[in-house]
Amino acid sequence: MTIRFLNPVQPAEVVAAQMAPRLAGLSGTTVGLLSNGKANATRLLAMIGEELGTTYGVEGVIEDVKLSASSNCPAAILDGLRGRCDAVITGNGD
Amino acid sequence: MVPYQFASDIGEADDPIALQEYFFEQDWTDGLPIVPPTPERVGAFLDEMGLQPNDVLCVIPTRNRALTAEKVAINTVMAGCRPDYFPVVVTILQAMAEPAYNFHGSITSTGGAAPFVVVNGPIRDQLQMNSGVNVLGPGNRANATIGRAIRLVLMNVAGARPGVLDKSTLGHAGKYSYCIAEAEAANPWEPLHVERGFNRMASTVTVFAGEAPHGIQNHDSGEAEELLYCMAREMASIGAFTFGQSALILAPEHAAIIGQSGWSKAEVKAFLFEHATQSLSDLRRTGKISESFAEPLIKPGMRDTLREAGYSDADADRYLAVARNISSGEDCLLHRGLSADDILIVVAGGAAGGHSAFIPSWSRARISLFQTKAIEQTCTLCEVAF
Repeated sequence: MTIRFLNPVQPAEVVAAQMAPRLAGLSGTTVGLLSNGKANATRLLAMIGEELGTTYGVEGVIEDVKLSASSNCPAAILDGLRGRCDAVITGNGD
Repeated sequence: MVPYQFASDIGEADDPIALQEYFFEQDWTDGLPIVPPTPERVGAFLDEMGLQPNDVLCVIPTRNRALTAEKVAINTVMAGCRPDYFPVVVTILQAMAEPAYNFHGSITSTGGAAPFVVVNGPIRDQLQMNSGVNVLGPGNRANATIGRAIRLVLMNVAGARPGVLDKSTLGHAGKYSYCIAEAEAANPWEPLHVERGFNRMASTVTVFAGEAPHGIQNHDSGEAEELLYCMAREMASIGAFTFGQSALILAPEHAAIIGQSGWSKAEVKAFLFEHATQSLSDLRRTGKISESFAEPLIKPGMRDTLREAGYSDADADRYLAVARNISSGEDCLLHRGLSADDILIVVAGGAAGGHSAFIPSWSRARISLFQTKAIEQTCTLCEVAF
């Protein structure tokens, strides 16, 4: 007897996203540093921010932090960074 | 004749064993055989709730992934559920999709949590669920298969396959199934769902991203305060210590001793919160809380971030106060959770035996909050929807 069955897997929806335009250079820019809330992310990003200033001429950094690595970044934080920064670095410093 | 147009591919197998082997080969199961999700059987589950295959039941916020009725029904069939279990499965997933639960993180983290589900209300009896002997163990179809259905949905629909998106370091046995009913008749206080603001005649699920249960064995004490202090010390166990929430399963024997001593549930929770503590010096000594732990929390704007993550004003202030205490470096006692309301108490288990259990929260921080949701059903006796 033939048994008919339905495939249980829901495929991922792929949405094409456009890359942000590349900056001509970092000198004189403002860079956002978004911690994902992991234990050492804030420290790691602070070190990166320092390096950006001394080596690449970044004029200022703006630090922010979200509560956890696995949840969405609140819109208010994203909007705040978008309005004030030329670029944003985020990452995991676990 | 199947009345539904399914979006899923339809496969065919010549015999039941070949079908099982095919599902194993495709990595579509939790390692156990499944019930074949035939179009007819899946259709019966959709009928149960009046759903169409492409109805979206919920969306996983972080990944923007929609869970459709068709895919959830397929996996619920596979788990061995009856059609009348389907509303419970759907409600559990919808509760998990509340942003404060942190659906994505809780099913993918190295922490290896599982959704611990407590069912309350009349549906427990309608589905012949177990709230008694061996409540966390095998032997009851509804308990076993409802929890299993959630796991199969997480693997096949949410993509949390072990080693792919599910990065659990250890995982635990509750990841096969972690679903119980509350023993409301053995509860000396109001049942969990009434405490959580629902009508006693409503049927609900409460979902908590939980680690494996810690057994609390105490046969000798007949004193409420002794028992509660024993439980609080287990809740404070340093390996499981976080500022996250807690679930406590009180065995009926323990619940009776405490209830008969005149303690209210609020007093019990307050006592547990007061005594489930660790000193900052011990947390430092064991490396549980590093110097950098509080740094993200004391950044400007964190209060707004906490509020957006589902914290009440009071809880946000409490968390920030904890962060300041840690940051100061001065020794102090730190509580598990932020307040007595971070402790979920459920009464369940066999009538005999002094065996309760503490279930720690997933995650080292407080980033998943338990959720309670009503199961939409119609009372067959009075035809009133709860």
